[in-house]
Amino acid sequence: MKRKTLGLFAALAVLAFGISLFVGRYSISPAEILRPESMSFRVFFNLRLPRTAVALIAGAGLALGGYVFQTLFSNPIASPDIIGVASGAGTGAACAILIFGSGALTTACGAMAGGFLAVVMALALVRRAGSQNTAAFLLAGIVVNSLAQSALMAIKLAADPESQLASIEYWLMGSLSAVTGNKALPVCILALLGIVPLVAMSKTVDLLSLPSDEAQLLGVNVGKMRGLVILLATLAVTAVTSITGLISFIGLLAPHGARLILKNNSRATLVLSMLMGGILVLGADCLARSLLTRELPISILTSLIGAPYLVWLMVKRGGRV
Amino acid sequence: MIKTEALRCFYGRTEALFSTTLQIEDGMLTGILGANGSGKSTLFKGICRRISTKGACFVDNIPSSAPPRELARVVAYVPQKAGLGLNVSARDAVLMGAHGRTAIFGDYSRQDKLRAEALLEEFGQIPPDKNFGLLSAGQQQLVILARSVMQGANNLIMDEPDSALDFANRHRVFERIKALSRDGRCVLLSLHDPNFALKYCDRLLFLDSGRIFEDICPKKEEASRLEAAFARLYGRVELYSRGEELCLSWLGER
Repeated sequence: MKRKTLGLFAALAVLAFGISLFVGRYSISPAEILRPESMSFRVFFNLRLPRTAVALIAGAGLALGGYVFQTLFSNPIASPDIIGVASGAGTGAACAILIFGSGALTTACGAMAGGFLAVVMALALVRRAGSQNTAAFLLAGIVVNSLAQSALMAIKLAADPESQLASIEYWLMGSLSAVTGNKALPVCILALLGIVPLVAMSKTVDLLSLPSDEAQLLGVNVGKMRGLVILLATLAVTAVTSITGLISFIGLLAPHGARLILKNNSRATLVLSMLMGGILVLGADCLARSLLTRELPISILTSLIGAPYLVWLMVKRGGRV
Repeated sequence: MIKTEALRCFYGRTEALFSTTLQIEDGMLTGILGANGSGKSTLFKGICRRISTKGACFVDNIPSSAPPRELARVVAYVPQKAGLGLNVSARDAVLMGAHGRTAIFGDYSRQDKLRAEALLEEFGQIPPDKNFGLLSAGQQQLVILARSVMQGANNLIMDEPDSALDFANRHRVFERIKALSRDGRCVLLSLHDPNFALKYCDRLLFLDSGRIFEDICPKKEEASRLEAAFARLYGRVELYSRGEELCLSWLGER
């Protein structure tokens, strides 16, 4: 059952990957791809392939982040955003746009720095409070989120409404249009540095969902491991967010979908969430590129799928998400 | 074997357990009785160094301040109620016991997986693939007990392991715990029902306001001493024997 489902979704991911390579305004002829001097070659290797790869990794990373945080905090609607990753990244990106203009590299660096800064602040607050309770993390998250929000508002107020404000708003809606060959590789490597160890230590993640006394006495160094898991998940999420902007709902949709199919939490469920996340982002990005003549921000589409899906999930489980 | 030497436990600056020197032996089921708030859970937390303590504590000669993985090899803890909010299969819940001897980035061995299934079968024919959250409270507690056995530790600490269970399930769980101690393990548990304590425990510790005031092996000591200890905890009580067994009844407020 598990293997068949994973196989099926892996095949679907490959299919979505293949389709994504050939969707877009410039139609690529497969025969021309291998001729280095052709336009098809340049579009394929410099734009389509990097964009598709980043979409897949972004989906996987966001789904993994959602899964890990939902497990860690035994909270079905948790995501790295609850401790301020998204709002930190948004504020960081906006700050970079304000200072350096809308260059993709500086925006990406700003977003990553902002996301990490938010998480480090939240962890420091929890440490200062001297409690390892879930409530302490949630409260620290609320504090960091509201600080980041007010900083973001101040930046927006200071931004030039014609150019900078538009760039900020556009970044906050998410898009993969900024992905090109030379930017994709570092993003993918950074994201994988978070993703691979987290998948390998999935059983520790499961144990961290226990009350901290219980986990500690099963041999988990709760303080250190929770910090490590949070930082790895943050790395995976901020790495992709830095170049794609905020992509909403994937961290909720994919893990819940995977749990609905496989019923139990396990490493297989984690891998299935990542495959589903990849497929969702690939699909949404294909639509974003091809629905209208201009490109749509991807979060418009993911939120559009996300909201009714959550309602359906709520109804199906009798009011519990 | 669990040994404490002048162990004191604190919540902030409040001393919740006063200097306690104890030795809990292997092959015995040792029960702790005491009213709510008398310090039973505090003692357990102190032994496992989960609150601030002074004094020393050793489990099989390993100081309880040892790193978690090392400590998990010698002592397992069974909570009142499993805090497992996660949708995991019964098999995976038991396998969590093997965490301490599995590499952090690795997976549980095939051997451990088979052992987990065998334990579930032995502890009450619990289907290994069934979701832990869908098991009955009794079955859940048996799964947690199986998890502590999976851990392979010789010393078991249990905080009111029967509190969520109905009459028959409590007996089932206690029979299982008794068998574990007969196999040579050192079991220290807290419980509320004196009649269960008299039926299953080899040794009883009486705790009041953070102090152990009596330490008795019920089957060896005189009944009057035992009755006096119960009276200090519960007020007017009467100890009587029915065949081999000792029973306690409450005579009501004066």
